[in-house]
Amino acid sequence: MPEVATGSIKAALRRIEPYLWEIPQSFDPAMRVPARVFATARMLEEIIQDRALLQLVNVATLPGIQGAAIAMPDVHEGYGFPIGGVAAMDYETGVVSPGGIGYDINCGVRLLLTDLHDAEVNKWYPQLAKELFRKVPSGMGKGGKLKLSIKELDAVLNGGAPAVVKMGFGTETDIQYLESFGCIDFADAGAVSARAKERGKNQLGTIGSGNHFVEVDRVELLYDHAAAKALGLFHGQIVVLIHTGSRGLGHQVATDYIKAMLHSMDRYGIRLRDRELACAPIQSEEGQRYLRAMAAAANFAWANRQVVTAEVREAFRVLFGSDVKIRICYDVAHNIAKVEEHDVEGERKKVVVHRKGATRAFPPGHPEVIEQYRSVGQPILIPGSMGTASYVLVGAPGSMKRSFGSTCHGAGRKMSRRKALKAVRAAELLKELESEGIYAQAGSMRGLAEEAPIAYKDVHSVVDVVDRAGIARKVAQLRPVAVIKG
Amino acid sequence: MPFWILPHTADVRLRVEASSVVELFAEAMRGMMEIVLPGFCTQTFPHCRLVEQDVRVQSVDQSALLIDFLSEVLYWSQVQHAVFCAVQFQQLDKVSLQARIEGCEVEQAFEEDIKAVTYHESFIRQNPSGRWETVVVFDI
Repeated sequence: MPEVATGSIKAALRRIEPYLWEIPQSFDPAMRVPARVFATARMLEEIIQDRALLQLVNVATLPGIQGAAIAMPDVHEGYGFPIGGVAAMDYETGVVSPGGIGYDINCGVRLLLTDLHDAEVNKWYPQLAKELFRKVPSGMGKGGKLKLSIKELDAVLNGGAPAVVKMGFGTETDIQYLESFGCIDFADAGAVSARAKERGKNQLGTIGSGNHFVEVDRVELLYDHAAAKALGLFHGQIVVLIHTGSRGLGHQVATDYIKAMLHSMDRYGIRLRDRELACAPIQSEEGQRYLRAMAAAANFAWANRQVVTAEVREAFRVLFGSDVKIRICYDVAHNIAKVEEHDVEGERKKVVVHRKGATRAFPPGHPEVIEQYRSVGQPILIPGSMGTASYVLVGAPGSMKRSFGSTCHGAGRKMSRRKALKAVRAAELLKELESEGIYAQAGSMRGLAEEAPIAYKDVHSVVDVVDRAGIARKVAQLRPVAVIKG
Repeated sequence: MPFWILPHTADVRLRVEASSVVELFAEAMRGMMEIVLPGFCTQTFPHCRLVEQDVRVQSVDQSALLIDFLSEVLYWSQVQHAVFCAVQFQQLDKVSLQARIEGCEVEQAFEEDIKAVTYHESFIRQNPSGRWETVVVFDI
């Protein structure tokens, strides 16, 4: 099946812009809009090796989808939706699909800026990795130090990052630098099952496993000095990236609602070719209830990254004293649905933008970009693989025309976990990273090997594509110096 | 072997084959546990603390029933930090089941953190040689 289908996808793809390719609607009678992918010709060869674009075609069949089903250059095969996909659904007539957000609701990235320079602290990187590993709980199903009662958990689900700031994790200023100020206001803890709460109640302040991490970086290159200055970045600066999401709570919310929507789809006359695309009309009771539960899980994720931020601050203070200043640059969600307004074929429309492995990329001047950054655009945080580089970008005007204000979210996997395990010995990887000046701490050697840099696409090419396509603009390149993983 | 891991770029794709539907459900559960903690269900455990859990599942059809059953096992596995190697079905039809799952509470960390069991590509069918089979994709 994949060979034949991949072949037909390849034949159908046509270049509509230098870095944008289209599978026309005529490719499949069930498609309601075309499917588009941002890539170079060479990247496209790699992208069609798995089922990502077949999955994108399936997304293009969903009721109420607007404009096009869109894939970013870091796209790869997922389940239902591809990872690295964007789909905007008409708010009145479209559907919401939990699979289009993913199981790790509001998986995202936060960038912390320190006032430390590489030259002052580089001899401390091995100790810093160890201290971070001690302070930030990581690993499979790992619980944190913070044990919440159900009442407190409900407050976090309804209140997001501001709720944990009230508990003493961070400051009011932190909240000003988070996408949606760390809280979606229509969240409803009552729409989250007891099971989801059970899975999540001890997990605030933990990063989990898989591709999640805390990474200390040095600002290596500046591409846009004015934008870097506006964001608070300077050459040689020590910064920290936190990549985690809503943990078991979010996974259970998605599981619960995908199952519920499978039961309700018949009632709405929805027929799908892949059940993982299970959906409900946005205006239905099921759709609205899912959106409230998703928002609660998203709030939990922002609160989680807020508590992890407090743990990172503690680790830095142990090594560098209480005077060290650490502020939040920004925090982005890359698995989420957002209610937004966009121009669709000349008409202003309210849509639910599903971003699964894609980041919001609003351009300079957009009213939803926080005032502090409005002149440069929304910061976009792109973690690479732990051995290469990560990037800070800002949104560019092309994103509003071409991708519903969205861009890529990372390097994107190209190699299966199993293949990576066969190809990489964790102990050797640790040594190799160390010889490059990158100190890693991991709870699981297997997990570390699965996440080896060779398992990922070239992050430089991915960001070059979104930069050249005009949907985001490069501001800075970050170089990892210490990484902790689950 | 009743289950095999197939290639998938980011997650885990498991193919399961068995001589009956009951066996297919049991092997799919063991296949999932093999991902969570490889080799655990094929060992003997003198010091294992036994965990038993009754489960009831209702679904839209047989393929969804398998996924919902695995989601149920995954939930109990995560909240009890247990690996379930055996299952006794009291009732199993095309849209519902009642069963008791049995396993061990484990101290060591799981090798893989399965976020969820997906419906993607799952379709229970009888192959030309009369055996029951399906694919299950796990979000990692």
